[in-house]
Amino acid sequence: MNYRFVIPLMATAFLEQTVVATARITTSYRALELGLSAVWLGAITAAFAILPMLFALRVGRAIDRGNDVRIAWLGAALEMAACAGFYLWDSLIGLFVSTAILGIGHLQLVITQQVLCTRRGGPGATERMLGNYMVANAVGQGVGPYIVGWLGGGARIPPTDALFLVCLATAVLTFAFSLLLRPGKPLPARASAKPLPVREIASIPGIRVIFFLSVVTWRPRISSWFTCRCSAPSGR
Amino acid sequence: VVYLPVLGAERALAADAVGMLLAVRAVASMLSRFLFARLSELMGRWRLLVSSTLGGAGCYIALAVPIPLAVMHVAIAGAGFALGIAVTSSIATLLSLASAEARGTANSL
Repeated sequence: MNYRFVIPLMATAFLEQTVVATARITTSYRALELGLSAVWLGAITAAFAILPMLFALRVGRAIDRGNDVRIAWLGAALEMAACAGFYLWDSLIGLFVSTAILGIGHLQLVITQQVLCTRRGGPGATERMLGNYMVANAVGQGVGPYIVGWLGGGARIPPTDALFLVCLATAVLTFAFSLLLRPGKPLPARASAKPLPVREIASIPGIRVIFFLSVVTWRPRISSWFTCRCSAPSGR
Repeated sequence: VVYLPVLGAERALAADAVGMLLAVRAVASMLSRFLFARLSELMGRWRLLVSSTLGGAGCYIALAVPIPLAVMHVAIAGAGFALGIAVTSSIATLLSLASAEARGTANSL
C-alpha cells in the first residue's frame, strides 16, 4: 500500500468530517444564542446542501479533467475560510454565508476523496481503500459531537466561540494534510477532448439504480446531526 | 437515527438507553466498513449492495414492531451493519460503473 498517499487521504477525511460535524452542531447552538427563528435555522441548514448542489457538476468535471488533488486543496481551503467566518462573523448573515462555504468545501473534498480511492487504490484495492475511507469518515463524524459534549459539559448551550475556534484549528490541520496529497500521473488521453455528456453517464446500465439506492441509504446519515442537536440539551 | 429518540420516548426508554442504541448502531456501522472489502470479494458488488439494502430495511421494520429492548439492540446493530455496507457499496459500485474519465462527474451527480 502506498502509505505516503493513504495516510494523508485518511487523515484529511477524518479531520474534515470532524470539522463539518462540529461546525454544524455548533451552528445550531449559535443560532439559538442569536435568537434566530426555526425558519432561519432551516434556511442555514439548507444552505449547506442546496448551494453546493449548484456547483456539484462543475466540481465533477474539474476532477475528470485531472484536477482531483487540486480540488481537494481548494475544498480544504474553503473549509478553513468557512471556519474563520464562523468564528469572526457573528451574525445571521455570517452563519448563512459560512455554512454555504463549508458545504461547498465539504462537497469538493468528499467527491474528490472518493474518486481518489479508486484512482490511487490500484487494481483490486479500491474496495479496501473505500472501506477504510468510510471508517475514517465514521470516526470523524463521531468525534465531532463528542467534542461538543466535552466542551459543553452540563451547559444548556456549549461555548460556541471555543467550538468554532476548535473547528478552525482542525480545518487548518485538514488543509495541511490535504497538501500532502500530491497530483498523480495524468489520466490516459481520451479519444475526444469533449467530456462525457451527463445524459450518457445517466444511461450507463445500473447507474440509475445506484442513484436511487444512494438517496435511500445516505438519508439516515445526512440527517444524523439533527439527532445530536435534539438530544444534546436533554443528555448529561 | 433521527427517529430513534422519538421512538424511545414513545416506548418510555430512558435517554441513556437511546444513547446506547445509537452507539451500538455507530459501532456496527464502523465494523461493517472494515469488513466491506472482504464481503464484496465474497459476494460480488451487486449482490452485496442489494442484500445489504434489503437487510437494513428488514432491521428497520423490526424496530417498528413492538419488541423488547434487548431485541432492539440486535435490530439496530443489524441496521447499522447493513447500511454501513450499503452506503460504501453504493459508492464503490457507482465508481466501478463509470469509466475512469467520467468518475468525478458521475460521483457529483
